[in-house]
Amino acid sequence: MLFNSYEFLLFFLPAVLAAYFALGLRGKDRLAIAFLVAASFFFYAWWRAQYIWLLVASIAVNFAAGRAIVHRAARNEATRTLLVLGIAFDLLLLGYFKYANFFLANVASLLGIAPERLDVILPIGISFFTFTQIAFLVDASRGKAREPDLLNYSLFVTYFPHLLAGPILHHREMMPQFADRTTKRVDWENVARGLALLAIGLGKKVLIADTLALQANDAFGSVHPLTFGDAWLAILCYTLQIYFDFSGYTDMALGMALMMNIRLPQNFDSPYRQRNLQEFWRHWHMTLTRFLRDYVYIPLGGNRRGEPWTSCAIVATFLLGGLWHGANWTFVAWGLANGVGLVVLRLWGRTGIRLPALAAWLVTFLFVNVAWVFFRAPDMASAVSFLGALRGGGGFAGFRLVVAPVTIATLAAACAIAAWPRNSNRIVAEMTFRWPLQVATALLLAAGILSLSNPTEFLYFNF
Amino acid sequence: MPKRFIRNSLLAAALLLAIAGAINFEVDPFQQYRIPTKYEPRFYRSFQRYENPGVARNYAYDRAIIASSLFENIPGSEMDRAFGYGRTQNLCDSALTAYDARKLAETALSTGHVKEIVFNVDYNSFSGPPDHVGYGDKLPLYLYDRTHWNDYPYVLSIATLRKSLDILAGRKEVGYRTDPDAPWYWADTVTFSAKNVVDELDVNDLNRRYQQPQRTLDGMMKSFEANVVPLVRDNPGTTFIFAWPPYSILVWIDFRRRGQLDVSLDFKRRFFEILSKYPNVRIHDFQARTDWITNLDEYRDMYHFSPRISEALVKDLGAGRERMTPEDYVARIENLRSIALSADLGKIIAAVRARQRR
Repeated sequence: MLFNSYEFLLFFLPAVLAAYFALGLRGKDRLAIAFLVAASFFFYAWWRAQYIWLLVASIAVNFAAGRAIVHRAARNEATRTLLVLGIAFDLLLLGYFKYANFFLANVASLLGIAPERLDVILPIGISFFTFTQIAFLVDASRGKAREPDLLNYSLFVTYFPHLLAGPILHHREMMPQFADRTTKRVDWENVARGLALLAIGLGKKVLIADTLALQANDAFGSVHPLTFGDAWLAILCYTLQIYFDFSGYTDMALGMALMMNIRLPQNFDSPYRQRNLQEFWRHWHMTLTRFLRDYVYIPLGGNRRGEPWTSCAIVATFLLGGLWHGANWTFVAWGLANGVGLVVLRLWGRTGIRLPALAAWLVTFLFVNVAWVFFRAPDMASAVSFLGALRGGGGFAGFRLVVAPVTIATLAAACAIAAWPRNSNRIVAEMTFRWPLQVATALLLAAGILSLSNPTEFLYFNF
Repeated sequence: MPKRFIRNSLLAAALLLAIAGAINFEVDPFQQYRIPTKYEPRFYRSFQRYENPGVARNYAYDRAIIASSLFENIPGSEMDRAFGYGRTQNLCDSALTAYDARKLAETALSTGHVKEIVFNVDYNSFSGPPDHVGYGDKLPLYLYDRTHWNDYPYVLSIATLRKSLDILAGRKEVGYRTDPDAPWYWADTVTFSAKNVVDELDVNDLNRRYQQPQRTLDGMMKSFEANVVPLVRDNPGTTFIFAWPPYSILVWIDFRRRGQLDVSLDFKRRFFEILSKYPNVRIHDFQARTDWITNLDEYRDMYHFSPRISEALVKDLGAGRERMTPEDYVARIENLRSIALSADLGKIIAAVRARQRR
């Protein structure tokens, strides 16, 4: 089920909230947890019911592995083998469903034979629930997480606001909240703030991201050469589309969780206002950056083994981060570009030269824009062709693609919102409950729901 | 205070949605609930997959044309004249797939008054998985059934609301037609000429403009067996008339170059062998009509032919001509294969250019 669907907004979410609080009010906390797990499985099954087994299997194996790790650690026995086996299971699952065909195609290409394709459908959200559970296993082996209760663990993994596209959670930041009895009671202030955040997220997704997507899709799907103007307009639209799409999704997730008195970690914090690439990554998809830092970069040695090693660790981490987003060389190239960009930034930092704030922002923003070309292009050839158009290879004569006035208006609004210092999280944290925000929330909800028809999928579901 | 915020926000949002929904239901721009009487019906090309199920349910007809853009220029009345009986409704969808066709046919058949359905058989409509949709992510299936309770995506839609308000304000936009007899007709908006056809070609990649995917026989058969066979088998009281359309010779050159000729002709053979067993099926083949397919002046591009060819095709259908039979289907297919193999793109283009110079 998509957040941006009538079924979710008009039926599923209201019904779940009502039942959850009804159980909580009667003091049936355990039943409320069980209900949320059941609702989350239903939410997942709405996509393809037959893939429930995959989610169940993944939970069962990781729960058993995590429990065994904790027990062995308690007896001071080695946990490394169990940890490796658990992570190997997760990676094999992810590898089969997400990367098998990519691997086969590349092997076939190397051998010069016809590629075989496995009849595999990428299970929605698999990258997210796999990473969440890998983090749990590692934390369990470090003594930072333990979960003896299967129902609680199931809720940690399947909790529907984060199941399909994150944020990627730490066990320790969620379980105390789920265990807290007060989270099962209605807190009207949290419901109001959550509702406002959900409305903002919905508006970001369906009013802004989906509108900008039309221009970006036209350009990246065009069979004709793009002019300089076409290419730059398209990549600017895509840069803002992906931000409003994913941060809109996250706002909705955070908003509906807050309505249930659960605080999910923030995932975006005005990334396009940042003045260097490192700051960008500290404000963009923050829970993924945190995961990569804690579970890839630091275990690789981080910055403890000298500059050359640090640079290699950064690039390796971002290559993996790129590949995590999709089984395509374009994602690898995108990860590589960001990794190399961060290394260059470190070297630049050593020179002691500081760019003026505006220039620093411009360089960062342009770099991020150009890197998104690899992220959006269907293949490397298209990406290279698009980069050529950005350099003017397709000519400088105006626009060959149709540019709708609504695209320009939406783009201008999107730029202003992305640049505005008060982002959605701050607006909601600082909001008073006076009538202007009531009107804004009502308008966003109504306009958002009216714009759901023929919904496009959230971009991150395939990652 | 938070309680009041929640109550007021939700009530105001609900009120706005209720107003929008009431307007959309009453105006009903895509004709889902009734044929409009207070305004001229509008057939929006960009919303065909939304509007056709409503047209299929609400208009009076006993023969439906369910086809891709190749048959959009056939008015229902033209087919009525050619057949000499019945009343035809054109229900074409651009880029129609086998799945799109089945869903639309099921909606039309659910009315209980459809006696004949005319399909064009487009190889490309059998590409992709059996539930492959030709346009967009998925069909608005909530409009293809006979219940209204699940129509909220239509009634609570800004796209519908824009059309409703345009109609209420009497604004006449572009992009729609008003004649139910030829709701999707576009031939009067384009030019049919060999020069245009050749000018638009990428001689190195004839498929560049259409980006048709590669097909496999196995994949095509899966779609055929999931979408066509059940329709024919489960509706013995309805006659299904399939027509293999006259693509220009350029399509066959493209198929040949992309290694799609054999898979296409094998599919055509299997199609006939399976469906010819059903007494409620007629299959007509216009693909080897060299008088049509080599005359590029009758084409808008390498796929789409002119109303002149449409009209002749409809007359042949009505008269039962070019019907495939167990005796001639192999010969027809082999004839088409030899036409495709002997076609020379260089000569075709040179001939068109030479004519231009004259």
